[in-house]
Amino acid sequence: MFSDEFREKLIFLAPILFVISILYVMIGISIYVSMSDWRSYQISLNFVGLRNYEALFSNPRFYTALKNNIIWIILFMGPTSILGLVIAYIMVSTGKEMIFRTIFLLPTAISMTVAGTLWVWMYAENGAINTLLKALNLGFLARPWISDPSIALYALIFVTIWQYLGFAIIIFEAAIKGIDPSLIEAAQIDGASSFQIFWDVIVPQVRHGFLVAVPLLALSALKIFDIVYVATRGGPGLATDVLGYFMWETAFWQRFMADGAAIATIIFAISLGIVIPYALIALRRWFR
Amino acid sequence: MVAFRKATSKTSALIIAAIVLIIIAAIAGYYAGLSSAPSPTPASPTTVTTVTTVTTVTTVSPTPTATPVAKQLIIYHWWTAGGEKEAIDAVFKVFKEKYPDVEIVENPVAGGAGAVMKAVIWGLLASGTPPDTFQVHAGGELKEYVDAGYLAPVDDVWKDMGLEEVIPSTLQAMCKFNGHYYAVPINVHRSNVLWYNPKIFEELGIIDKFGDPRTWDLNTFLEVARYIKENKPGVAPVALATRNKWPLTHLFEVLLVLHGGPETYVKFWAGKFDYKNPDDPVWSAVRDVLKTIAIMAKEGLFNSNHPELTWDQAAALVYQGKAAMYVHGDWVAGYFMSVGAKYGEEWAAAPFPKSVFILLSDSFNLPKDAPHPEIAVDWLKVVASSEAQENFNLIKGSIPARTDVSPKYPDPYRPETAEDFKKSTLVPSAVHGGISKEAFVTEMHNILTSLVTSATAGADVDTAVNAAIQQIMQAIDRSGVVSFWEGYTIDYFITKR
Repeated sequence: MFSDEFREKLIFLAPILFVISILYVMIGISIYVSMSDWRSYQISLNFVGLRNYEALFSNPRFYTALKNNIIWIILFMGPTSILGLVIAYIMVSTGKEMIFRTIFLLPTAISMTVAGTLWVWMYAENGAINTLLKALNLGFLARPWISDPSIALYALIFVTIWQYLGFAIIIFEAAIKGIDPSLIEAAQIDGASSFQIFWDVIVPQVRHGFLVAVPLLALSALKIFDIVYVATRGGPGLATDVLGYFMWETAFWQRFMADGAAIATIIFAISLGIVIPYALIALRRWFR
Repeated sequence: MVAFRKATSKTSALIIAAIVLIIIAAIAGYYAGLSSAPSPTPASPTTVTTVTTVTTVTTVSPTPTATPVAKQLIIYHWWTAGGEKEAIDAVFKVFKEKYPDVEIVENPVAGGAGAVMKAVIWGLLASGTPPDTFQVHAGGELKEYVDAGYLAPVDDVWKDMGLEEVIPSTLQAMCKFNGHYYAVPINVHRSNVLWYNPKIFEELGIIDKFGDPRTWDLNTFLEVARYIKENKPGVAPVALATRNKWPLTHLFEVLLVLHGGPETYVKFWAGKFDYKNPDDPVWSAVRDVLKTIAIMAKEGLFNSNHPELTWDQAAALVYQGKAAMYVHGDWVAGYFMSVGAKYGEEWAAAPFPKSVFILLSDSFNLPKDAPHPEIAVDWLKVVASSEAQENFNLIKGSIPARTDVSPKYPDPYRPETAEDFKKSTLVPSAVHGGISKEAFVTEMHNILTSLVTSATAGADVDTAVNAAIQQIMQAIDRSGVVSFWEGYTIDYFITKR
């Protein structure tokens, strides 16, 4: 019935397909739960249609969290990938890769909860950052970083940039190293400055680096939860509230599993919005 | 050669596939066997112990009457911090002396007030593999498990131990739903206490000028705060911690009892008033309290860095002389003693108000499908015993749930609170799971911190308070707190004295 080759492929693929299918079954169950009336410790799976979504869309907190999530994605993804590229270029062109990699990868190795706790201490009114600013006669820059609702979100976004920079650097380092060295040599012979080389040779050649880094970073920012939980619980007020934390509070503190699943489904839908274009571009490249 | 390699690669692929399938089948079997519905998978650090529970139950599940071979007590609690751990160990010691052949399988899950443990327990209960007993706040938090049908009544323990005679009616009510007792309380904490720095109070002559804090009303509290700000600008009049949000709701709860009295307090938290009508008298009390909090935020009467502090860090401000007052529960006394702060010099405490005692209580229960129900009942009897209550509470910093046990307290704070427990009007705490519903309290955390945030930023107090009241109305609707307490009267929760 099947050719030998096809059967062999099937044998190799079967286990992984099975494992992956479990994930999709779980997603399906979550989506079903989001349309159920499960709102207590007691599991209850009566179908109620889109009622939970209507309730969610009429809750102003949902829009606050969504807005914060979008700000987080934009302000995190852009700087992290651009800084990652610049530092990776400096790293490769100076040849001091070991030192750079150690310095920038260390934050990535720290868990988000530990990083969150550390940064809350540093951000405190009398914490390391303000003390340092005052010592440098820059006291006018000192701020209550996470006590002030107008800057708390940005303070937390900065922590995630600090954490993920090493990850972006590694991706771009690999991308830069994949460029044919003769291109750079040719540019050097033509008398291009290192900035020109960076801008005209490196940047166009590392597009696939962006293709890997940007969606992954966007997804990390979309599902952000741990640092918010550890550092602010979405506070002051709802200034740093995000969908991930909103979902957790709804599902596990309020015991509104159905409403929590509805938020999860929306996070899933947004992540599809990020992943599908990425997948289309990637597929087009590979099957060209 | 090629054929051989092909064969081996096929064999190894088949082996890998078989292993993966076995693992998946095991997982699927575990879930399918226990419940047909999906269960929330707890993100917990207790992998090892969960496995033990699973193996125990698979042997029991076909016939619940079958006696398990091992004599074990599987227990979950969240007492992991210094002092707490020693306290529960003292109860284990009493249990071990009485039942030396029972092995205690302890599953402590760290995380303040069981924030993490609740998710773990939920997973175990929903999948039909409960422990023998677990810690839960008596009151609304316990009722949620009862309503879901996860717990068995423990009326016999109450009867055998004569608990009704020695436990006040409010605490009885917090363990009794649909006419049955579902838990045995081990301790009592008081939520409404004003902690203050005696040096600052003396220096400013506050008690001479405003009287004993035990008798203050809401207005006096605000006046005192303003007076401190005016005369000692370097000191925060009232310490606050909102990093975890709930300490602000805690302040609100205490001020609501102070201003509205116990009945208004219970009506508000249980949703037992005409909440859709803004002219209901409960709203006017709530409005006053919200207004006071907003004014205090606007006038800078709280420490400005409250969003970065946890409850203990705010308490530290008081004994360090950086803040004058702090409204919080009486675990603060344990904290002050653990850091060696001197009573009478660096800290003092006043019940706030003295006439009312807002209580919270930790309790243990008996899940319906507990693998060792008889041992669990033995455990509950130990929990209810005078000996365990005395040993536990001496270390924990709380007072016994039984009023006939009066340990020799080493600290100056607890004798007064133990006395008040017998003489003051009792109501359950909302923030700590006694009354209300956690779904509503969680929304209150966000509403109140948002109120303080906007008032601090300079928003008009009345506008901000009106917005908060609108949000609270919606939260009452959304959280289902009204239907949650249907069939229970206000008097059920109040021990009037």
